[in-house]
Amino acid sequence: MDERLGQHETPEDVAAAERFAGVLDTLEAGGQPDVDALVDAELASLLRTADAVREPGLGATETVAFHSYRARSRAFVLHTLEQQRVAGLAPSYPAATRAGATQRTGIIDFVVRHRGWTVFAPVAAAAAAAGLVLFTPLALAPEENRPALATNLTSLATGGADVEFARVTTALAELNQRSRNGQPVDASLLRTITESTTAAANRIETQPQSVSKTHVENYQRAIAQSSTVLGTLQAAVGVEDALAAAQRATQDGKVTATRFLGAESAVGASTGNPAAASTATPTSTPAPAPTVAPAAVTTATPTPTATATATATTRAGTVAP
Amino acid sequence: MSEPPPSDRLSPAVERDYVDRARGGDQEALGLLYDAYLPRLYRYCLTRVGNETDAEDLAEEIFLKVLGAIDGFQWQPATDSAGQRIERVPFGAWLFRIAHNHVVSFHRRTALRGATAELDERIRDHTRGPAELTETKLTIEEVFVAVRELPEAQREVILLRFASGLSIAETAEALGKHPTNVKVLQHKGVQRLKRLLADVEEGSSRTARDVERFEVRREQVRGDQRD
Repeated sequence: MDERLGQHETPEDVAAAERFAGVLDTLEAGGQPDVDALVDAELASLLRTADAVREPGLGATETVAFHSYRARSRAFVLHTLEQQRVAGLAPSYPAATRAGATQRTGIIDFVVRHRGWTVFAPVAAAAAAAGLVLFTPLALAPEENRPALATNLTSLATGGADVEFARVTTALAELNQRSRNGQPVDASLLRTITESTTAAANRIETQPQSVSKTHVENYQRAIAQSSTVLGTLQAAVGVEDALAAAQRATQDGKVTATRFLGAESAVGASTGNPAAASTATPTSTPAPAPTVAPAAVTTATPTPTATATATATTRAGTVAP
Repeated sequence: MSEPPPSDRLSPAVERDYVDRARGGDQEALGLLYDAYLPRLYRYCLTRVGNETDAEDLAEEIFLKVLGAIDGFQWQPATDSAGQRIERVPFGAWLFRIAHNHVVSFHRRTALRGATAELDERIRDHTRGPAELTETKLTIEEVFVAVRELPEAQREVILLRFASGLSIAETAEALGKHPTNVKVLQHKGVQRLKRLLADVEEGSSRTARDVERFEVRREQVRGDQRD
């Protein structure tokens, strides 16, 4: 028997399979195969079945939710790869371990469970625009070659939890500082905020043993202090996506931090966590229900204050667009 | 007949350029590879696990695995039994081979924990409404349930060919099979799917066992979702 065949195929099976495959090739190349639905009823029927199987999948990647996932996931993947490359880590990445059969990990699951936010996005955008009446709008400049952020973002591109969380607080502090000074906020800073916030949240969820309660409390505080600024920024053309991604990332981060701190508080000294003497209770409660306007969600004070100390180093590389 | 969107596919020369640059740490090239393959990889994962949440996580994990290991990827020529050099489509095949193994591992872990695939309500609601229920369009749920009825070899070929849009050559390379074998599996898989789905629609008793298994499995999946 022909070694190319399985155990039970006959030459007739192969001939029919070759014909079917040839017709599919023609269709996939954009051509019109010579198939008469009356003469080749069986073949025509198989083609319809193949099409019916293919079609639902194509639709699944045309949704708003998929495009949202794509943007967030792309940023996270490239950020993670860059960290690995700069740190000279082994190619195999630390897999995002699943916490259990019923417990999901990662930002993506949270956003999926709260995908109703995408419904409110236009309303949120309108609310943000309305914020112009009450707050001094900050025009976002199109991306330009800015001088490196006068912070330690570059040096914070690699390293453990301390560095990772410091990167978040530094980026958010930069945002707040620009807001106070009336300086524009560009897409690159927003992308840095998105990447660093997402990376830190991912660490909290997938490597909770590597973070301390202090890390997470500071992280939560920095996000809260920046929420008002992010919620009232007016995006220039071409920067809307970066702003929306930063808003989503900080919201996700806030929930992740709240969940972590809530668990810490409920369990006591959490297994594997660095000893934290603090017995502070969570500063906020989990908010699974999304709200309409980003500006209304924030628990920040109206005048956010910078908490990070800037040091004179150059800005870290950001994810390629 | 619907076809994969053109943007999903890279020409061999372009793909090779991206891969070579990505191996040198070019972030832009990594991003371009991600953009090119995510839709197909996501569709593959979705039809393998039946829900968006797991599909998103799996696709991301697979990309991190593939792109993180791209430094070690080698473009190797291949020869046939006569010693003639043959064209290969290595990168996509390599990616989906890793994807296949990763999803298999996921199913093993899931089986060990006793969890069953959950159905995303939104997938069903999104793809069709009551008016469409009388049409012959399938949902992701039905595709997922149906392909699970196939023998593993047929299922893998069907998913790589129609969910992921791989060519026969790519599918063969990803699965380590001869292209002719892939064609036969494809043909048999589509025949079986046609029979299964047509019998469910018509309520025929001709393949009562297939119908019963399909409906029982569909109810199991829906029941898991309700729980």
